[in-house]
Amino acid sequence: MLRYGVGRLLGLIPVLLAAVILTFLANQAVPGDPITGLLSDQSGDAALEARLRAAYGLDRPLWQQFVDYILGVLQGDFGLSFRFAQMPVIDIIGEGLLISPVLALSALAIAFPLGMLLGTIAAIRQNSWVDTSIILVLVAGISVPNFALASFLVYIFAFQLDWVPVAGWGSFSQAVIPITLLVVPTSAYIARLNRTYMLEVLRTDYIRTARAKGLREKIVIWRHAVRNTLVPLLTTVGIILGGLLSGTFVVETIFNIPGLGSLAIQAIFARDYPVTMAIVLLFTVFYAGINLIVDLLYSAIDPRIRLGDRTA
Amino acid sequence: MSVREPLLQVDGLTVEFATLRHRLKVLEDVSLTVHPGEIVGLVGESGSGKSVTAMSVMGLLPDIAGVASGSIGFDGTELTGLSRKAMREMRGRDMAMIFQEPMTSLNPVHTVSFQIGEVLVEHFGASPAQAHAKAVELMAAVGIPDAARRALDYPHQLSGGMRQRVMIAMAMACQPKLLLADEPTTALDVTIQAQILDLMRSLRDQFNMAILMITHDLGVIAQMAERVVVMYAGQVVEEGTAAQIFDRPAHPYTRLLIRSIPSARHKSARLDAIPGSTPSAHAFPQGCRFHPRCPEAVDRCRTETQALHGLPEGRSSRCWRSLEALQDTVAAS
Repeated sequence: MLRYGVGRLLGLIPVLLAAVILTFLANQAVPGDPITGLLSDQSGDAALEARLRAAYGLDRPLWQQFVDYILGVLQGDFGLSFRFAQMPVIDIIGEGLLISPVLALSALAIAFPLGMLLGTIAAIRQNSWVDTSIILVLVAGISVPNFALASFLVYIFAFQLDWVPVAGWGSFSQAVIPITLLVVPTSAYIARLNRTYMLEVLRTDYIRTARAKGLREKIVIWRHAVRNTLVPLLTTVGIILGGLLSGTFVVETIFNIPGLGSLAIQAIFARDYPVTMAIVLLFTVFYAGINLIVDLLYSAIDPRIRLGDRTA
Repeated sequence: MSVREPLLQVDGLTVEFATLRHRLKVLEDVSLTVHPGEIVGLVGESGSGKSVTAMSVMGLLPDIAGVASGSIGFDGTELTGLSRKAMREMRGRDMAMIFQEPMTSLNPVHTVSFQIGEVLVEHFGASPAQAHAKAVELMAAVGIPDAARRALDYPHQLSGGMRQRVMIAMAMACQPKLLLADEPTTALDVTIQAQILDLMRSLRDQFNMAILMITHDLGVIAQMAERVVVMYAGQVVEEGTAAQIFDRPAHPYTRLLIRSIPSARHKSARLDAIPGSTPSAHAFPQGCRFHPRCPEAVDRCRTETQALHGLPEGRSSRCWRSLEALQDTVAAS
């Protein structure tokens, strides 16, 4: 298990390197030049431009810029921001560092059990009115785009009922609508998957055995069936989390939340490469870390999966 | 034999499956009895209704199926129309069932001792520690070596034969009066098969537990059963003692079934398979349901519905020519 964990952590290195290279190249491929943007009204001042290029190291060959960047990152130096003149990237990111992960993980923590519960109830009441109504709600939850749902929720709960603030960040009530926006499609997705998995598990021989033993239906479902739907469900957590992280980009922008998501959008528009790259890198680490935890959870849930154990 | 009260008495059982368009009678007028401590074989090809009969007794028919008529008497209780709760409390305690697929019949995420002990917790309110101790004891009793250690294994760590032993231990946990065994050895190789059959027989002797042995394998029936019920296309076609059935089968279907057993001693060029296949419940033939495959069929078989009727020596058959056939064999011998 420990060896497996260490191996997986080492495996992160090529992933991160690939992420850096791709972002680095993508930034180069985008038309436009950050220094021209920085100069704006002082454009034409060739001496200033040359000085800025030197300060950011943009006068050196591409490969050298790349190597310098990697070496810097290894020492915790992500370079300087273009948009906020010469401010270290680490300071800019530091302020909102945890907001996106907190948003995504809180949404996941609510959506996962909620989706599991809805999917299970729909499955055990298959083809009844309960099942049909749950499916209807799920389809709506998946189909309504989040910006439309955002306007709707803000109109009802912020304007009409005045229960929560319209936007901003810093208090619990300000997080309610953004997290709801992330929870709705995610839980709907999980519920739909879990309904399918549950229907499959309910047809298995071991569920028939459990019933033949005279166990109460509650025990058959929660002790024998649910645990078996957890494994396929967990495999989707990686995909779900990817969706949630990109969801935070939209939600943070809509509600003016100073997280990495909205910062990334601003940085991309401003061609603030160092900030974009740092954020991509952080999201990659976060995403890979969660997937590692998920993989470790498998073996806790399903005894047939013994990670890294080649003797089995 | 008739003096004893039967433990299980299925009488005129008709079971229907409701599909979108049809109501299919998958079982029609099925009657059979099992006495305490008796081993009864229920034979037939796949699709003949053997498993549906067993599931009806267990009260485990799928939601789309229902008992349309007939009765199932078990140990003085009428099971049809019994509440879900009362039926559930009987399952696993008074009657238990083991299945064909030992590989998939155990839950992969729980240890085997937990799955055995669970029955005792459910029906007798045993504590987890008591349940575990009893589970180990049961595992040893069904011949699992090193039971204390194997108890903590998960199903995937055991072989098919060991898993079937675990299933039997689970079924034996509450010392049921009736064990329904649905093709318990079909998925196992021959040596393991013999061990499992021996085990079931010795458990029967020890606890006077009746066994309804469901199989398509006449070899298994010959080794185990005292009485045999032959099913075809959702009906019982013949019933009698094992000796009667094997020595002087009364129904043409039974005769063909016995002839189709491959024998190592009489090597023939080809297997004597019964031509054609079992009709599905959508299209049971008119008249005798076996007539399209029957080499002895005459006009009367094609038009006249056949009823199960008594023959000498307490046996019965659904073929109107059975008496004639039996007299012929007596005359020939």
